[in-house]
Amino acid sequence: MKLELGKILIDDVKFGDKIEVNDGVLTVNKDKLIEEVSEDSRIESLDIELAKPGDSVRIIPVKDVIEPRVKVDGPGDIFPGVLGGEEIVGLGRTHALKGVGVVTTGEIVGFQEGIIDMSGPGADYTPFSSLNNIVVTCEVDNDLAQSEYEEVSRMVGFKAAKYIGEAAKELEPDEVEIFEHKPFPEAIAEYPNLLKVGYVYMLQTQGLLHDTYVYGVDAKQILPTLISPTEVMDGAIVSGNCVSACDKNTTYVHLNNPIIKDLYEHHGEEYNFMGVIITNENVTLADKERSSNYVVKLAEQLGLDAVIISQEGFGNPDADLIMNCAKLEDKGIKTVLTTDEYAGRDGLSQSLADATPKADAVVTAGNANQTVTLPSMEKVIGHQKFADVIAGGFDGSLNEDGTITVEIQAIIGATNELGFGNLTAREY
Amino acid sequence: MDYIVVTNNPLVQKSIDLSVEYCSTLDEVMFMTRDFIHLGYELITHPLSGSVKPVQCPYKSIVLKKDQNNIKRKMLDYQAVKIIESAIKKVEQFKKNHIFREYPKSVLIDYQTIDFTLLKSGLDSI
Repeated sequence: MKLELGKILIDDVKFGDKIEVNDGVLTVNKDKLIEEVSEDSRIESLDIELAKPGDSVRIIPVKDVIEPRVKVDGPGDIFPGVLGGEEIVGLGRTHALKGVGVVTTGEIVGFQEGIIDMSGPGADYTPFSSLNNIVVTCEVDNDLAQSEYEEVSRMVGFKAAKYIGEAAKELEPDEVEIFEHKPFPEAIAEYPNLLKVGYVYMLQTQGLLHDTYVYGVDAKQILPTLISPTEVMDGAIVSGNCVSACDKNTTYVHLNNPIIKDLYEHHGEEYNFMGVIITNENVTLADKERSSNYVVKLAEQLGLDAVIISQEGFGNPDADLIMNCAKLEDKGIKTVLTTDEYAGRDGLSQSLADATPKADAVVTAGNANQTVTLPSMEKVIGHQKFADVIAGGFDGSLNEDGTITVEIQAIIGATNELGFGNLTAREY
Repeated sequence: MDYIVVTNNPLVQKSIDLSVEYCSTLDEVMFMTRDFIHLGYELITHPLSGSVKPVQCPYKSIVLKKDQNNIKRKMLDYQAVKIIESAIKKVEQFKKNHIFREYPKSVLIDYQTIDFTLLKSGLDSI
């Protein structure tokens, strides 16, 4: 499967009469966009605002961030099984509007979280502050169940991203990257002397506000399976998450998975990147055992020598992470884990809720309990009142002067476990 | 059915058609689950939620299974002991950082709903 990913670089976004891209400026007709995404009768009101890098704007509570993309050539459509049909994606050509994010916000649950500050110290903690964000605030009837509100908001985001992405269809990209995923016999034969490396991609799948969809299928119901990295770039995996802002994978992160990107970067030189195994993080221990056993089976069938395992979320997924690690290591398959930590505000507590001595190569994306004080912003898109009840917030988080003191777990992407964040460790 | 649900979630208590051990606090849920495991019950669902943090979310529901053979033979599942002890440690850790507050009723209902749906997702697969 070969995918050409054309990147159209966008420096600025503004409202105008029609949707178009000129000299790196994306213009969006606000009324038309609202019309395009408002067809669901459960929507009571919907508004669209812009938030640009450096603006004194706080977006809270963020549900999802999505990059606008469009299929230019090849089968299927972006977000297959969700908006597109059931065609397999990941080949042909896709265009992406780089530098743009569609951000969805709405009061789905009263403790919902997720802050994007577009300037100030908070902006340093979220990768999404550097995007020109098109923020969709979607409200529904108060009586609508939380699960329905989540679905409405999720679909509004995908529709908006797809509609905006269409503007890139006829454009000449600023850059084109080519990614290829060959049939396994061919891939093995190509680099017979290199170690065969795979990627175990764990998806949050425990229930309402904790779900991920693969080709539209609720991933808690799948057995682990193989997916081409190029399918992921075409939106085969989308987020239905609303919790754990710092370490949930937004749809934007799935589309731009940095582990996949880095594995491609040294493919054919340092190792042979064989492919991706997606697996879930379910509630029952039996499901965890079954899925981790199946991950090991697939890794052995592929003849992998080593894997990177990325986690999503915190708590019971720690058990999945450790099961995957221990069982793969038992089979002689080396593992590197990527996760984040809840080590207490002093950083002294046990980082994960599970552990094994076999996890001897672990990359951390940061300590989510670290606190930060965010200054007040001139404009808040969404509902600032959530600051007191969001994860990482506490009584009095929202101070009288509009500042917020929170743990960084309240900030979208602050400790993203795929490494899609800004935190790093330096030795002095 | 040999399943029991240990919970402090009132929504679960009134909505689940299973044997329910109702607790008044999150701590009690954790310690009662640990005690059941030591009695030979099988731990069915993980005692920590997916991403909603313990303590911040005041509710937790955990499913166990009464296995007569294990109970008679006093078989102890060491893996389950490790999981519940680690979860108890995490709850203790999150308590240190938590300042007690009265949540608005609507927020409590949302937390109850999330805990209930996570429980249901577990029950659906057994």
